[in-house]
Amino acid sequence: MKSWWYAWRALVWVTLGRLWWSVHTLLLLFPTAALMLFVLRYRERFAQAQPEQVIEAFAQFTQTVVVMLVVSFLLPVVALGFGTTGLGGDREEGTLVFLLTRPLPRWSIALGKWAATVPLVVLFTWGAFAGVCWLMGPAGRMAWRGYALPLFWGAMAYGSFFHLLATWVRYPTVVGVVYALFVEALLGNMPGVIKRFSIGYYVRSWIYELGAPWGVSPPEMFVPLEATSCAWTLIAITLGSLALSAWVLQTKEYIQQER
Amino acid sequence: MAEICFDQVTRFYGPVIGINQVSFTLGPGVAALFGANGAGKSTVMRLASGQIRPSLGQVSINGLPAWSTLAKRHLGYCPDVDRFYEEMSGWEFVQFMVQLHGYSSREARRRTEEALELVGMSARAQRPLATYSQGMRQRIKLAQALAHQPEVLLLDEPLAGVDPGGRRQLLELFAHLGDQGCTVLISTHMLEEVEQLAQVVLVLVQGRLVAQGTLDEIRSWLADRPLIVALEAEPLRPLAGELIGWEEVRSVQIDGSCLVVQVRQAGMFFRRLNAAAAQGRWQLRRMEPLDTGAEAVFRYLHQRS
Amino acid sequence: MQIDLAHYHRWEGRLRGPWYSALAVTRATLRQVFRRKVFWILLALGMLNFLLYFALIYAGTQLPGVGDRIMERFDFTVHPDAQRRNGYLRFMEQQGLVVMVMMAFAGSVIIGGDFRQRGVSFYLAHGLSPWHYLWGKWLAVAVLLGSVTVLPALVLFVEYGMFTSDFHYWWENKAVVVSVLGYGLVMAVVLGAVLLALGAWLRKTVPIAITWTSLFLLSAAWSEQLRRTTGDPHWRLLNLWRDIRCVGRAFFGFYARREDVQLAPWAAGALAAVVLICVGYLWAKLVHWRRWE
Repeated sequence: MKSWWYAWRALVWVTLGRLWWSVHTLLLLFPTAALMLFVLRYRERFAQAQPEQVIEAFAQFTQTVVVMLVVSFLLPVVALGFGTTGLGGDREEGTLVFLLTRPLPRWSIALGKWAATVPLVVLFTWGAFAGVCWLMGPAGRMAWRGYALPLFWGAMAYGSFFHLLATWVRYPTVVGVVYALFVEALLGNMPGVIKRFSIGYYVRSWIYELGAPWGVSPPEMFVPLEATSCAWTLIAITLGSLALSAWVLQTKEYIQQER
Repeated sequence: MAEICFDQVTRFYGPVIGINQVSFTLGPGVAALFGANGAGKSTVMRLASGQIRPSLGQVSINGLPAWSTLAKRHLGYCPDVDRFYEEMSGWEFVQFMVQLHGYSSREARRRTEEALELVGMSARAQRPLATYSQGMRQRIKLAQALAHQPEVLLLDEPLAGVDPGGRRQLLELFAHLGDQGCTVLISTHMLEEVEQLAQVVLVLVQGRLVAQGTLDEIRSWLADRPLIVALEAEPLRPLAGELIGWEEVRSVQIDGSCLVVQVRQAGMFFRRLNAAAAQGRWQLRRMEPLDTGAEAVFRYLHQRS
Repeated sequence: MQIDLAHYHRWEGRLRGPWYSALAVTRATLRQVFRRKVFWILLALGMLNFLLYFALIYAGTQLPGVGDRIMERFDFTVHPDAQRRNGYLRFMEQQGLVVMVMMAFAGSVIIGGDFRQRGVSFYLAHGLSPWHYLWGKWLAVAVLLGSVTVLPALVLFVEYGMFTSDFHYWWENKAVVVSVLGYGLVMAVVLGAVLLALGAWLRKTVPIAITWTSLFLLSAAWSEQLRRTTGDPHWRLLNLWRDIRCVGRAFFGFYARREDVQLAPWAAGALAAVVLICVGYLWAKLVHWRRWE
């Protein structure tokens, strides 16, 4: 018996397997491990016996590890590693032709690739963050409870945006690298509203608001948005990128370039 | 009924024209698509497989627009590009491709085995694709195109890199599929090989379809094209002397016991030769056109275009 | 057909040596990078800082009274002063992010593609040894790197001199040219070797970018953390980017911190070790590349 569901499930499953058992996963495990080792050493700076010491450690941990290393570095790099290669890998390697000549609606191919890549971005980032928080001790557990949600939506938004790039531009990985390392770093730290073009800005704003009662404050020039606005923006980026990528794949012609 | 239909199809790539007002309809059987590099063969294949849309006109598979999802249910496509999921084995790759047609895992396994058997890759299918030779990769591409038993089969350069024995097997397979009611369109440069099995030949030159039909039909349409004819007759030299005086003959060369005649208008030449032979001035033992192969036809069409 | 008719004939000129032939490798590589639109966008973004300083120098020299304050506000010193500030050094160090992203992008184009698509054998079959090939590729990296650091810094130096009343500024500050070139050379040698090694190993853009950024960002975080917890400044040597800055500043004749005076020879040693490891890897990879495939 033939069914669209069988085909779509196979697409998701195979994409997931190919992404997970790829060199990207291995390479992403190195910075993750380095980050964890860093936290192992970092926590020695804080005594966390008393509640006020935990709060102090939590505030420092938020600034140094959560914002600077997890949100500004690990999250975009993980999204880059998986998000651009789910569909972008097929485009750059020339295997997309095998998918486009199957009786699967093109929008469902975009959806299938998204369903394989974005959860992987979320789970990897969450996994790394959970590990880091667990290693940090009480302050880390506090950070996990507080920041798991912003990080979830941040990973969803980043992953979906890179997935959109993969359907849209010819060299998604190159554009993804430029976006993740340059545009995010440059725009996200600029004064004024221009930083709203950076996905990381919304995640950081959300984190700053959640951490504010425990003394977490943003840098001087950083003017954060309200957490609710950040949440809705990240959800909108996720859904908008997904819808747009489905529409682009449905309508765009992909002509294989000879190497 | 399995059918590929191009109706006044034109396709632009920006300012460059890929194919220009191409129309044809192909039914069950084997058809060959000939053309030099850049003639538009790949554009025809991409249009028929629904990868791109025509700028003008319509392309349909079994009456359905080729771009649509429904049309792809009837389609098997073997692309010319040598790209795979290299880390997969041949077996995994074909199975995945079959699953993308919506078959359950069990059914996909069964069809994968059948298809690999058909292309002679059963014994070697468990190895990673990265370790395959070009011929083996070609067979895997064919297997993925055949596994779901499509009514329309588009094969873009399917014999590239396949050894001579393998080619013979695959050609037999294509002929068999054509006999069973499948519409097989083969784009190839191997003119001499497919001319034996192609019931229809499409000749593309610079984006235009310049000829369509069986190779014999195309030859007959080209009766007035230049031709080289070998003649054995008795006496030889008087015949050579007479032929050189004919308007239709460009040159005559004596090669041992044979005359090699370069003819300007083949149809007229043969009619006059028949009439002269009937008068009995000399005895004609053998007459053989030397360049009637598909390559020569194609070369002529290309030059004329 | 006779071979003469095909216009094939023996080259009758004098062939140049392979080190010169390697320039063709550089040209071909740069052409591959420059034909990508995204590179030009990156270059344009990377030059924003240059445009800022370019305008700053113009305003600083053309607005009497206000100009000096503007230059001071942006901490751009065209005369190396008693506080050992130097605007050209400042500019080059600020270009660090651009350099990092550009190299992450260029790695797969410069060398990764050669290994991925087996273009290496094409080069090595033309009378070039692995050394010549590496020389050609390294020159390409150096040109790209220089185009966003050394060249703009020298343009700023020339610009300021042109707005002065005579040629004394250039003559009195001629050491700036040597310093800028020296700093650029350190960056090109170290980053070039690391990038070529990473490109040859990982080949594709995303893995190169992941490793490249991890190398620089996490090594910085790690070295700082270890220095804090142990109190030993030698841990700073783990930060490759800082080592480059430390050695590069030697050309300007001063260091950011007092401890850098002590660390500079160690940093030079660390960089030399990194370069040697990378070159050794590249050499082995190129000599035995067919076996590694």
